[in-house]
Amino acid sequence: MIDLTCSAPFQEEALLRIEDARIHYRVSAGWLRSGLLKAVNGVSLSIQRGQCLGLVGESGCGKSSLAQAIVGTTRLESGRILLEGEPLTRCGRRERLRRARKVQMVWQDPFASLNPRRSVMEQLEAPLKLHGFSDRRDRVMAMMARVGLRPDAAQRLPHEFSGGQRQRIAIARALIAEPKLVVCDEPLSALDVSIRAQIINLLLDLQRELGLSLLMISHDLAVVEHMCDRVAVMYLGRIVEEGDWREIFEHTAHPYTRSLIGAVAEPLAAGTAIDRLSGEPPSPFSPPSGCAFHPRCPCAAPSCRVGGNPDPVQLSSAHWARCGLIKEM
Amino acid sequence: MTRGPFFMMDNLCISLAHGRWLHSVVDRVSLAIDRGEVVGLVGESGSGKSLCALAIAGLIASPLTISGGRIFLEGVDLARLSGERLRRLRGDQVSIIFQEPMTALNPLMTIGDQIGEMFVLHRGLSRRAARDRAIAALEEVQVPAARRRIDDYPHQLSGGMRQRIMIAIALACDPALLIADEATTALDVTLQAEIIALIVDLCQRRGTAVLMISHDLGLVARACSRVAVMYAGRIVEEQPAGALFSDPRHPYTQALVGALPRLGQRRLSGQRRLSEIPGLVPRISEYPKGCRFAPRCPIAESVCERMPPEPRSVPSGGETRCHLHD
Repeated sequence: MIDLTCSAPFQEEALLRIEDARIHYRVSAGWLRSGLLKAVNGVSLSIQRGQCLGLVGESGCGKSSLAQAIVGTTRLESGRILLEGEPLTRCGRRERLRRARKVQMVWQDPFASLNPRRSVMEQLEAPLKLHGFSDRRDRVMAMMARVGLRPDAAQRLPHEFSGGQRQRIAIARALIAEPKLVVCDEPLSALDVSIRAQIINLLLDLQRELGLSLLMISHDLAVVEHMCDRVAVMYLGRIVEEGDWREIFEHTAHPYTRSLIGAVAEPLAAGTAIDRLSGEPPSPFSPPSGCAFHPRCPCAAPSCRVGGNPDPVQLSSAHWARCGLIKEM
Repeated sequence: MTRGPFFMMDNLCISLAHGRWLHSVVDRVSLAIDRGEVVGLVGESGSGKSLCALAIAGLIASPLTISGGRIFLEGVDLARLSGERLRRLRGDQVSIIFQEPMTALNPLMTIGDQIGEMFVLHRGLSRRAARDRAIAALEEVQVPAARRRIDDYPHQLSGGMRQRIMIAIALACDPALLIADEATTALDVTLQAEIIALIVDLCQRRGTAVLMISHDLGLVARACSRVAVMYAGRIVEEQPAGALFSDPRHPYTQALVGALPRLGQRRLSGQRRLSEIPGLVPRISEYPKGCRFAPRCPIAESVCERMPPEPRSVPSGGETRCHLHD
């Protein structure tokens, strides 16, 4: 088996490194029974400084669980998450505070993620107070200008803003204490088309100007192609393909990635048949034998149905996939 | 009387009463749909597209009123029907599939009873006969093991399955018109394509007219034959789906298509940034007097601020409402 953590052509220590992370949930499965849900099942990933990593997959594939483990709201069953080489394991208050200084999160729903009773100023000042910053007002005003909010927005409450404006506030709150990494969990899906473009551009500008790293969780492959430097595709708790964005989109290797790309509704392809993936992901309580994707895979062979999950195959220096049907180059 | 289109909104106007003021929220919306045709209505939140759906189903209530225009379905003006006739019409001739299947389904009734209810209410069948019809309806929307699933409650089903149940209920009585209001927005991309294909396929076979309301331009482009674009309560452009995206005529449509992240675009142009539409959608109380897009329009002239544009025809056979279109 190849060493996945070294697949990126960087010598420098990665900002974030996830090593064989597993997240299990004990879930009641009917009368007096409980089942073990393996939401994340041996994931290794790394994010370099200033890089944007896209994590894609359907709902239930474990991408949000992984995000929660990175910000520290979910415990790992096994494996490690290293931030600048330091493991994030203990979940004490001081540890959490130190992590919050470096890792912040932007949530999907800007209507639910802001406190409805606190003004924008109070919400943006709170992280600064917590981390002991001085000149707080100046920092808030500068950050508001940076994300495109007018100064008079400071004293207003979240309900006075539109969805796009609220997402700007959420982004400002995530960035105000100058984190190294921002985890964005579907930050665009609640927004309208024209607002979406504004927020994508804002995130790209901030990434470049502040040297920020982004983990962009999304199921929209068109957005991911636009924003990301690297892309990881997740299916049923495992990464099935990972690589440089260009490799992923130009030399797509895994049939699942191909189906996801095919499912993007491309307006210029109007009138063409919808390329679709049949069925829904299997239950993570009882994953299928062999390759987890074989029941839905358009090119599954008999060999895909038996044994364990296929081992990763290295396709180029910056691209690998987990499919039994591709041959190593 | 000459036979008009199968379904038609003709200069539909909806107003919102606010104190002494009456704001026009939907202004002279006209759209025709033929038997078995799928027509898209796209626009951003607040553009009035869902209000059109509610008006068709007779669900407009105070402080909103239908202040003008007509809605024809098979020659009958729905905007003038009384409460009782409207109630019988809903579910029978006009059905709506809403965005959120979990809130649209009754959590305390089995799905079999919820589908069967349609046959009991509108067709006068017995409960036993309705149950058989419900099983057939479930099979039609490709729910596996329909006979076993029929006694399930909504919470036992996945999101995709629930939306299939909604489709089965909506199509149970063979409606003349189906309105899909953001029917797949809450679903995964892979499921979206599947559910849309199911709706289009079933309706084309039955000759049901479909009004597909969405903010997802890509999805609408693939499923619909024609697409109308709404901005601030008005249709600004209507064209065959292909032409709308390859040759948009209204500056708003052009900006919207330009702001869409597209597969392959970054590989071609090397550009990561997307083009933006500057500014915000105006508030209902602050709609401009002339063209409602004028304050954000890159090519607006003085005439645009003075008077609302009338529809002008475009080469593809559609229409656009822009003063500067020739």
